[in-house]
Amino acid sequence: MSLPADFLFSQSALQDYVDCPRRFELRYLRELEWPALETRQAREQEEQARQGRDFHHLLHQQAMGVPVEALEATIDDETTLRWWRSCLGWQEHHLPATRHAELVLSTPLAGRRLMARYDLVARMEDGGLLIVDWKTGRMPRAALLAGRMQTIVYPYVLASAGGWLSAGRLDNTKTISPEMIRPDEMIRPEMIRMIYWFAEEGRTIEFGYDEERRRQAEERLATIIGEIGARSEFAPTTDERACRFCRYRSFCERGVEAGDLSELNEAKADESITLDLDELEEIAF
Amino acid sequence: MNLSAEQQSIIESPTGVRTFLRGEAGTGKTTAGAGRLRHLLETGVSAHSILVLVAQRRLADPYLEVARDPAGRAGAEVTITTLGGLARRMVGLYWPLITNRLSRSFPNRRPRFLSLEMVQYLMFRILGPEIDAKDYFNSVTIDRARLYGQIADNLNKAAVVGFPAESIGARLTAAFAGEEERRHIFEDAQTCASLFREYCRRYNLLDFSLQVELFCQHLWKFASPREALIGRYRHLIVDNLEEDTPATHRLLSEWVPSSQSALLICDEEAGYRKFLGADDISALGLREACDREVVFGRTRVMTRSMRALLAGVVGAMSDEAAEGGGLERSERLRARRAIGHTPAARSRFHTQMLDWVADEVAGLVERKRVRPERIVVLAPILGDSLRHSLVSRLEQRGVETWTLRPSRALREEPAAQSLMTLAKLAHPDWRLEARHRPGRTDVERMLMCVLEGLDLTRASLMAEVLYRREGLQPFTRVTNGEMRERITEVFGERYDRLRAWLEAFRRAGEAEPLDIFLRRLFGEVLSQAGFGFHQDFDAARVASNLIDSARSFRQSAEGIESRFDLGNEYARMVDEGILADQYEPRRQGAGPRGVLIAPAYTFLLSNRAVDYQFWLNIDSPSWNRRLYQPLTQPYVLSAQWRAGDVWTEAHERESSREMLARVVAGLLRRCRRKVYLGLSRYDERGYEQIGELRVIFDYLLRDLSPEERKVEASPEAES
Ligand code: SF4
Repeated sequence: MSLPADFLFSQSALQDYVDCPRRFELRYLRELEWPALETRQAREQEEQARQGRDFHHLLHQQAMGVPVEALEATIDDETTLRWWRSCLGWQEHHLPATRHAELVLSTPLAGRRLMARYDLVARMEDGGLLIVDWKTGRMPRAALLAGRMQTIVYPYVLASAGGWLSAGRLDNTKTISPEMIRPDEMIRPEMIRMIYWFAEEGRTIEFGYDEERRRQAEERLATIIGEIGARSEFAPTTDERACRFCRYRSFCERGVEAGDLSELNEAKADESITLDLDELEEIAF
Repeated sequence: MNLSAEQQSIIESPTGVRTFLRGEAGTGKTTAGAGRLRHLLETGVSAHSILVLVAQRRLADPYLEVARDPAGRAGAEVTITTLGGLARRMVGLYWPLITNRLSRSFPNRRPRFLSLEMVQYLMFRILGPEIDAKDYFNSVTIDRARLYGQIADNLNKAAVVGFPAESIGARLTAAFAGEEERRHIFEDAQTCASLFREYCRRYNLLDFSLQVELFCQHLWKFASPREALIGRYRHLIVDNLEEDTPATHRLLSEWVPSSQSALLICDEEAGYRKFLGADDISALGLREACDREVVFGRTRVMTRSMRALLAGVVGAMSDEAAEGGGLERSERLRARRAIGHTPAARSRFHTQMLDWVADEVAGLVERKRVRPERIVVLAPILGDSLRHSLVSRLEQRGVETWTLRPSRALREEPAAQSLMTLAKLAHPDWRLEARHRPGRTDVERMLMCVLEGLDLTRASLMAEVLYRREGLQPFTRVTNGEMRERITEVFGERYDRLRAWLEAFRRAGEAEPLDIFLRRLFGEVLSQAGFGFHQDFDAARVASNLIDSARSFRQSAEGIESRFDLGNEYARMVDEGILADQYEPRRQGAGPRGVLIAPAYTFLLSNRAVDYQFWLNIDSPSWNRRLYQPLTQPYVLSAQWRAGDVWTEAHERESSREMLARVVAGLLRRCRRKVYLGLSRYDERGYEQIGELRVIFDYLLRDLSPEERKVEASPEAES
C-alpha cells in the first residue's frame, strides 16, 4: 500500500517507522485498528497517561492566562500537584514571558509535509527560541534522547517554519509576504535550543542546535521520508523485543502476552502520552 | 483547475474585505473558499491567524487538502474546526473562569465531556427508573434509545437556537395540535430534560448542549478567552453557513466585524441539517456583518441535460405543475437524456430493481470505463439489509463499494455481540438477569465469529454439545468419536484454547475492568492465528470501537457518585441497543475507492459532485417523510418559529414538500451526467407503495411518442 499524497509526517510516525517499518504501515497506511494491550499493567499505564495529559493540559491553561491559583484548585492528586509546583518554580527562573503553548508548525520536506506539535515555544529576549517539552515519564539518558525522532524533528521544523516567531511577528494583524521577511528575521539554527523538562525529577536535558545539526537532520529526515514514499512493502522489525510492547503482536504472529511496564524502554515510557498529544488535532472536531 | 473570473475575484480579494458569498450548490463557492485559503497562505498571511469553520467534519475536506498541501509554505497550522470543536476546546481551557456556573457541590472538579453514548447511558440510568415509576410517555410507543436521543436533541436545540432549556416543553405544547391526551408527553420530555440537566450540573458533566451554552453564553463574554480567539484568528473562512446553527451565526455576527478578512459562504436552497438546528434564514443575517455580498449563479457541475432536468423537476414541483414540468418539447427531450430508469419489466419487485441497479452500475464501470468513485447509489434510508443486498450484488459483478451510513447499535455487530457473549461467560459474578444471559444461539454465533473458518453446522453442534448453563465445557470431555470427527480436532483444539483462557481468568478472580479484559482476550486469543479476528479487519475495527466505548464508559462513570458494577451495567447497555458503533472512515478526503452507497442526506452533506447517481426506490414515501420523532419538532424548536403558532397538517405537508424539493434539487446539482431512477412497485417488505417523488418524475417520464423514444435512447451527448 502506498503513501497518500497528503500524508502528514510527525515525529511519532517517523519513530514508528524507525522502530519497525511494518508498524508504520499497519498504523498509518492501513489504519488498522488493533485493540490488543501494549503492556501487561494496562491500568497503571492508563493512569500514567492520564496524569501526563492532565499535567500538559494544566500547563496549556496556564500559558493561556488562566490564573495559577484557580488552576491549582482543580488539581486533585498529590503527584500532579508536586509536578505543578516544581514546574512553576522552574518556569520562574528559566522561561521568558513570551510563550506559545501547543503550537503546531509544519514544513515541506522531500515532497511531503512534516509537522511538529510543541508543548511550548518561548521567545528569548535576544530573539532566540526555546522549545520546551514536558515529560512525565522516566528520565532517560541524554544520549538515548538525542537519537529520538522528537529531538531531531522539533528543532528542524522550528528552524524551517518558525522564523515569524523569532521575528516577533506575533501581531496577526500584519500580512507577511516572503519578501517582507528580512534575512536577519529568519531564525538561525544557533538561536534554537530544546529542553526536555522531567516532572518527576524536576530536572532537564537540554540540546543546542546549529547549522551542521540542522543539515544532518534534513538529510536524515529526507532520506527516511523518501524511503517510505518509495516503498510498497514494509518489513517487520528484526528486534523482536519491540514486539512485546506493540499492539500488532498477534497480527504479526510475534507472541501472545504483552510485556511488563517496568521493562519498557526508558525513552518510550512517555510515548503513549506523546501519541495522544499528536492526535489532538483530530479531537479539534 | 480552471477558475472563473468571479471565483478569482473572491480568492484574490484584498485583506480588509469581508465577503458574504452565496449561490446554489455546484456553482464553485467551496472551490473559491479553498482557493482563498491557499491564496492567504501563499501571500504570507500567518496560518496561525486563520480559522476555517465548517458545520460538520466532512465539510472540511477541501480545506484540509489545502492546509496539508506538501508544497505549501512552511509555517503554523490553519485551524479547521466546527463550533462544537471550538466550544469544547475553549471550555476545557478556560474552565476555571466559569466553574461557578455549574456545580455548587464540586466547584473545582474538572469537567467531563460526555460523548453522545455517555449521554444516552446516563439517561438510561437516571431517567429510566423515573420514567418507569411515573409512567411517563405512556401514550407513545418508542424504544428507549430513541426516546433518550430525542430528549438530548431538545437540549441541544435549546443551546444552539438560544432559548432556555426550561422552556422546551412549553414551546412544544403551545404548537401542538394533536389529541389532548398526548400533550403531556411534552411535559414529560421537559421533566426528563430538566432532571438530566440538573444531574450534569451537579457533577460538572458537559454534554454537547452544555458545552455550547457555556461557551456562547458565558465564556464568550469574558475578555481573555474572547480576546484570545479574536486576537489570534484575524482571518475567517466559514463554509456551509446554512448548515450551521444560530449559535454559530450569533458568534460570527460579533466576530466578523473585528476580523481583518472574512469569507462567509452560504448555499441557497439547502439547510439539510435543519433537524439538528441548522438555520439557513439566520445564516442570511450575516450579510449585515460583511462589506459586500457576491452571488454565484452559474453551475460548474451540471451538463445542459442535467440543467434541463433540474428545471423540469422544479417545474413539476411548483404549485402550478404543468405537463412535462412545464418544459418546452426540446428541453423536455434534453432533460430525458439525463434520466435512466428501471424498465417496466423489472420494476415490480424490490429485488428486481436492485438487480437492475447492480447491472447498470457494472455496465458503467465495465463497458463505459467510468471510475467507480464517480458513481453513487442513494437511498432515502439505508438499512443493513438493503446495504447488504446491494453490496453483495455489486461485488458479484466485480464492483468495489464503500458505504457512508449512520452509526448503528453495537448489538447489531456480530463481532461486538461475540465479545460481549464471551465477557458474560467469563463473569458469572455479574449475576445477569435471565434475559441478558447468553443463550445457545448467542454461543453458536460467537463460535462462528471467533473460530476462523467454522461453519454454521459445526457451530450449532458445538453450542449444543459444549454449552451448559454452568458455562462452556471442555472439548476433551467429548468422548463420542463420531461427534469429535464432525466437529474436527482442529476446531476442538482452538475451542479448548479459548475455553482454557476464560477458565484461567475466572479462576484468577481478579477484578479487571471490562475494556482491559476485552483487550487481553483480543490480543492473547481472538486475534491470534486460527481465530476469527486474525484476518478480519472489519471485526477488529468493531472490537476496537466496542473497547473504546467500554473504556470511555468506565472513565466517565468512575468519577460519578455511586459505585456500581460497571461491566454488568455496560453489558446491559449493549443489549438494550443504547450503545452505537461509531464508524467514520478516517481518511475522508481521499475517500475509500469504489462506488459510494449512502443515504441521500449523508451524501448531500458530504458536499461533493459525481457523474452518475442512482436513486433507489423513488416510489418510497420515505423520500419526503420526516423521521418519527414524537418528543421533538425541529421546526417548532427553531429560531424561525413564531410564538403562538400551531403546527398543523398543512405545515407538515408544506415542510415535507419543501424539504423534498431541496433534496431533489440538491442531488441534481451534485450530478454531472445522469440520474438513474430505481422503480419498484412493492417495497422490501412487499407492500405496494407510491410516494411524491415518483409522482414528480412521472410528469417527465410519461407519454413518449415513438420518435421521442428514439431520441431518448440516444447517448447523452453533452459537453
Ligand atoms: S509486532 Fe513487531 S513486527 Fe509487528 S508491527 Fe509490532 S513491532 Fe513490528
